[in-house]
Amino acid sequence: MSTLTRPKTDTVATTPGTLRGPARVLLRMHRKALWAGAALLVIGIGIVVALRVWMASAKELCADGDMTPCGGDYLPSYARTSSELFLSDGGTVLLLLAGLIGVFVAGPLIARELESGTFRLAWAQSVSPAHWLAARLAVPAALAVVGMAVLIAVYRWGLWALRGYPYSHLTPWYASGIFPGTGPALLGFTLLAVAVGALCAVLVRRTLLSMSLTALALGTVALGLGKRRYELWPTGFRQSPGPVELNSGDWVVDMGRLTESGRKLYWEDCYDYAADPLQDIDACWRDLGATAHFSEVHPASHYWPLQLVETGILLALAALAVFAAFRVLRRLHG
Amino acid sequence: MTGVAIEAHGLGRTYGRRGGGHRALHDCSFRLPAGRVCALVGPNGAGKSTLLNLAAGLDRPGAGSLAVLGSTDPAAVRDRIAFVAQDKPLYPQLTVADTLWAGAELNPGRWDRATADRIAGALPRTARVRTLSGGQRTRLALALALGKRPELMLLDEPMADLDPLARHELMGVLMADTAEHGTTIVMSSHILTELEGACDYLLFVDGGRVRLGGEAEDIVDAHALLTGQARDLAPHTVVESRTTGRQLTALIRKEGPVDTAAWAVTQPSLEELLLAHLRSPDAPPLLTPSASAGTRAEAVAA
Repeated sequence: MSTLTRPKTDTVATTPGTLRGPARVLLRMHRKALWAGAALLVIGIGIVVALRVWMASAKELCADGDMTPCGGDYLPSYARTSSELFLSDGGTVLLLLAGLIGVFVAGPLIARELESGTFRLAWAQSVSPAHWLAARLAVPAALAVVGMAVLIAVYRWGLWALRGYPYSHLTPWYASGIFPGTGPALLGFTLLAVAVGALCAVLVRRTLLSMSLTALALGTVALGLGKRRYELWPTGFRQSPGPVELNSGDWVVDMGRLTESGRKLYWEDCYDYAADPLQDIDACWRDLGATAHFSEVHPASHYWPLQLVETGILLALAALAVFAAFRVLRRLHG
Repeated sequence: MTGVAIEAHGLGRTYGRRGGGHRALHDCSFRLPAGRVCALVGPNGAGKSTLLNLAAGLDRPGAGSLAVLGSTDPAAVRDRIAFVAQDKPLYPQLTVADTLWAGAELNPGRWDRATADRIAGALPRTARVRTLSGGQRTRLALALALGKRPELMLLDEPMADLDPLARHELMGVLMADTAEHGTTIVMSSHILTELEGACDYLLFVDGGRVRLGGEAEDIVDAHALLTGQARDLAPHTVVESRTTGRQLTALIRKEGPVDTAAWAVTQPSLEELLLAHLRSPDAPPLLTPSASAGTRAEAVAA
């Protein structure tokens, strides 16, 4: 190898500092988006605080369920029913927010640079493609996780106001509009959003296309988890000769009758009877050999196992996406 | 300064899919000694930008090897290379001041603020990059490039957007820089006159390979423009010849002394030389000894 006589000055640049510069430049480039994100955070906190203040200030009789002093009539306050309605979709809103972060990473943060050619500015300065991508993953991931953790805490605090309230039907812990927004699974989804955004961006290198692809991929994951979440942890099986007794926090996944041999019967098996109020459905069950009731249930204690398994799956997918994104970038640019 | 800035062996780069791809570079070999100001000229689509992209470490060769500043992996020495791409990529939403600040952030331990500020000159510091004119963008891109104190500057069509005054001024800055620090500069253009006079080295790329390479003076000296009665031109290599009646005008590569009694001999200009080669794609390539990519052993000795 030929050598140059010029003394090496580049030893000053140490590894810990290599991400700091790109990260700071990235933050300055996207100052407006940063402000918009901060505004969304404040709005989210503000909505929950406002709902709680509204509920606390509304006069409500017999909210504890003891209706004797109310003469047997109970009417919830408008503040309470409205808050319940709003909060029952909080998890969905937070998922959408995480998706928005992913779409932002895919479009303006990465693909737009690849499309317009400005990535060559950073790469022709002393930033390697891997560091360039690492900064575009680490900065949004760190900010989003912190912001989302705050919103999770605030959302749980909002739901807390409805806890133990006997007439609340809109806010069970397992509702698909609530569950994803109350625990670490949301942080997993946020990281997945950032990772999928980066992967789509380096794959297609077109702003709009990669944003659409990211939205599509994240939507599929979110809907898929919403539909199949109950399978992430084994359900508790309960049976009894009479109707199975359920607690208020139980998430009933499946129910029906059992035959002596243990075969499960569902109401579809007695469809004709169930549809006709004049017929006795129990007679149908008896004819089929049903001897007991059963139900498959996630008790409230399954909340954390379900959250953690979901978080694990999302983090594993995110790690795969990050790995793939770096591989794609390396294959293209070394 | 001794040493080799860029050395390429059988360099190849094909764009597009295998089979129907476009061969931007093919079996391209040359050497550029350090400390030179080199004009990289050639027609549109000759492979100039591809070559610069490879040398800057933004792209990887499909075949052959490329050593830059002594490293076989140009990307590993990217902090010693400055590259200004043809479209002058800059972040449009940043201001001029922010862009210069970003240069300092992205080149820790190397950034020369005074130089960058001097090149940026009268650019309004609070103006956003998207509001700048083409010439102003070029100036800012060059400020970023020079601010990192590179050992090798790769400039792709740097002067295209500049008016003659700014061109002259920036050329002066580049020359001063290379005189002071021994920076190697490679400037590409398809208009030779843009670079003639400033460059002491020439790489003429055409059809994906280097057809002429070496000191500009040596290359011109190696050729002669002959006028006289039509007759055999041996032993010289004919690049291009034209007959008008019995009168023959030929651009030849000298292979020994020229018979000055039989021919009126003039020295061609560099531009004439390049045009003649462009019109004669079959003329053999000429690389002076300093521009010939040596064997591996020679490279070590250099």
